[in-house]
Amino acid sequence: MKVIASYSIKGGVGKTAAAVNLAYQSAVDGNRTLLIDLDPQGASGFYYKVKAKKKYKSSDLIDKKKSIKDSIRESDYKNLDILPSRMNFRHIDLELGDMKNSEDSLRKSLKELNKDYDVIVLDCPPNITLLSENIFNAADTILIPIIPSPLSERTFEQILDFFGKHDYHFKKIRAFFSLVEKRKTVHRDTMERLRKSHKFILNTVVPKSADVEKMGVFQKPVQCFALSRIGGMAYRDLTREILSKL
Amino acid sequence: MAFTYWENKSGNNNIGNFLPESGFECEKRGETPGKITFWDSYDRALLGKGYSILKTGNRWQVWNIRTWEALDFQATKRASEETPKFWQTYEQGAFQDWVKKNLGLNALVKMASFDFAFSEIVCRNSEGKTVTRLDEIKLNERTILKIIGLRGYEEEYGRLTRFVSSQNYDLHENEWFSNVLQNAGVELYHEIPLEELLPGGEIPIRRAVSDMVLNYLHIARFYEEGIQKDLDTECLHKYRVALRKIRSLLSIIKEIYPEQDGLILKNDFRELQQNTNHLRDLDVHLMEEEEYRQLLPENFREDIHPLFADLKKERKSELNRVRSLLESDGYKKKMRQLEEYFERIYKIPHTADSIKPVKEVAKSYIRVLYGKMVKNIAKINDDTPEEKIHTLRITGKKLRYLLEFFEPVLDLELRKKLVTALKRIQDELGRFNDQCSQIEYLSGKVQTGTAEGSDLVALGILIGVVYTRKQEQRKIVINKISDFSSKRVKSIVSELTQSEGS
Repeated sequence: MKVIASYSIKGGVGKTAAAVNLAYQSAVDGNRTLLIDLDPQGASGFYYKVKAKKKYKSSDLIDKKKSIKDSIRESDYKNLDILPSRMNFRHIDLELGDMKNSEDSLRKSLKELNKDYDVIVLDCPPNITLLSENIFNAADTILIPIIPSPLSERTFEQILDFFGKHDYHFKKIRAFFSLVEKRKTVHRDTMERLRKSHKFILNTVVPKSADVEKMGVFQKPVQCFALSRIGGMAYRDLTREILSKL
Repeated sequence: MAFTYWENKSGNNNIGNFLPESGFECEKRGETPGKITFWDSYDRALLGKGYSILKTGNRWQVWNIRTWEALDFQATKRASEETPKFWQTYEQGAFQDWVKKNLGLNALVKMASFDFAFSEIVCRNSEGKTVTRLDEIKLNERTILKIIGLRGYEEEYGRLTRFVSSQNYDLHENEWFSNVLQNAGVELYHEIPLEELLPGGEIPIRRAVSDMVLNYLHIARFYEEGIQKDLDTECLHKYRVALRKIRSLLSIIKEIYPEQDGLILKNDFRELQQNTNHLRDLDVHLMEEEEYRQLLPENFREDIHPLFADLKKERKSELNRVRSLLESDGYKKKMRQLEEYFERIYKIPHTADSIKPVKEVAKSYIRVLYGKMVKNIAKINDDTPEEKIHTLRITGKKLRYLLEFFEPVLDLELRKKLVTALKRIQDELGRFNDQCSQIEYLSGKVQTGTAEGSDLVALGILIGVVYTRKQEQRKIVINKISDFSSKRVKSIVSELTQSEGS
């Protein structure tokens, strides 16, 4: 079982789109896949039309004495299950703060799914908190979308700085350029500069695409309705590139 | 993923009439009507494992008949439906691999043909999310509904099953497909499990042996049709295994039938077995063609072609002889008489041993046969004639059958340990025996004088190669057999065969 976290401190960079489309493609390619939504906004669940069960609490996810198995729901697609989020997930950091060795809780909880899934995709909230540290410990790959702009570049450097200060493995990090508009000079220059300085940036580039924006209208992964267009193809290629490096 | 099968009691098969009342938004996805044919080995080996091979149009697929789902691979080779198919007749790939693994030497035979339609109905909640699914499977006049639950939507699954049940639908067992086949005239083959034949260790030995003989007789009779149709070599092989098991039972367990009856039975079964000896030998040699070819230097490989061409001709004529025999009134009468004898065994007077408890008798014969093997092993050395080694193999085979026949009344773990130890030497002895038979057969071919020139040279080389291998195998046999008379195995046998309470 491999865990991939779609993560960034910054919002609006394409984390959820990446998590949703990556999970779908992983399932299509034959991996038993679970998408876990950790963001209280619950956007991942929305894209799959899956609502959380009423009895599901954030403590189920971080307390190894409890189980998340009963809260998992099957999606409309073969090999793909969803663990949707709820608004009460906004308190998860408070709960983690009350626990001992709390930075490893998520990893321990996910262990019970070891035999059920080949790939788990985490859709993470945009912050850097105790939950983020749990994510860094639980994930085999931290997938960071970067909009090739100065602000996103700064955010990316902040994450790397945090990793360095807290002794996390840099080799877990994979980044990709998201919402790219190649006609913009600033995008082209930033991509070129970052590729030179960081070897863990993936080859696949996800362009800004109207199809990705339509995911919310259709409530489907982009590959379901635009596989042969740039948005659909980009996420298909991105997934295969990430999985090939696991 | 939970699922259940349902069928309408009143024959009202139009699901579309009632689903709108279920409270779900339901959508039926394309029905694909057509003909479907069902394929399996002659003895329904796949059905026994919970699978079947279904052919629609040119597409061959393996289906899990419990979940009614196709496995993720298929073959599309176009082939005449009436011809038996072996795994080699399909294109390379996952389908061929699966058929090879599960059918081996068995041919795939068409069992039944149905009018077939399959459609999927998805049931959604108010959010538009699929919460449960229905598969509608139509086979001839039957329509079966499979209600499939989705993980995390147990409540919705329960709601739909309750609704379907309220619409005059009956819950079906998962094995409904077997019933459909039986209704279509497919005779199902079930070997009676030994546990049923031996319900306890205290039943009289003659009753147990007679039930087993009758069971093997039925098995042999089942394969007669397969032999006559020459579907594959396995039909004859399994027919002969069934007869061999009967002969073993009758020769190992002595004095449970009146003396005269015992002699007649042994003689009858020996004759029955002998009827097919030559055909089986020919099958075995023909199957070894590639192995023989590989034993020869490359420039001689084509020279054994005439030998196998002759064998094929000989097999054809031998098969015709066996066919006539199986068709003959004399054969049918003999088989019927034997069946009747064992069916009416309660009418035959008892002997001193016939009412002994099966468990006690089995243990005593295991002790006797093992003792015999230990004595034989002690006498085998580098100069021992081949016949003595073959005698050891045959005694070992009897012991192996004994452990198989009486498995339900023996200690599971100890029996398993002894079988493992026995198998280790039987495999080596079997290999040695095969090589002796090959030399005998090839030498016979030289003596007939039909081979000449390069064919004769090829035969000579083959005999030389097999002879060298045989000598090497003999050394392996002599090295390994002593393990079977070790203290460890002796103590296993002693523990396995000790009397109750001792």
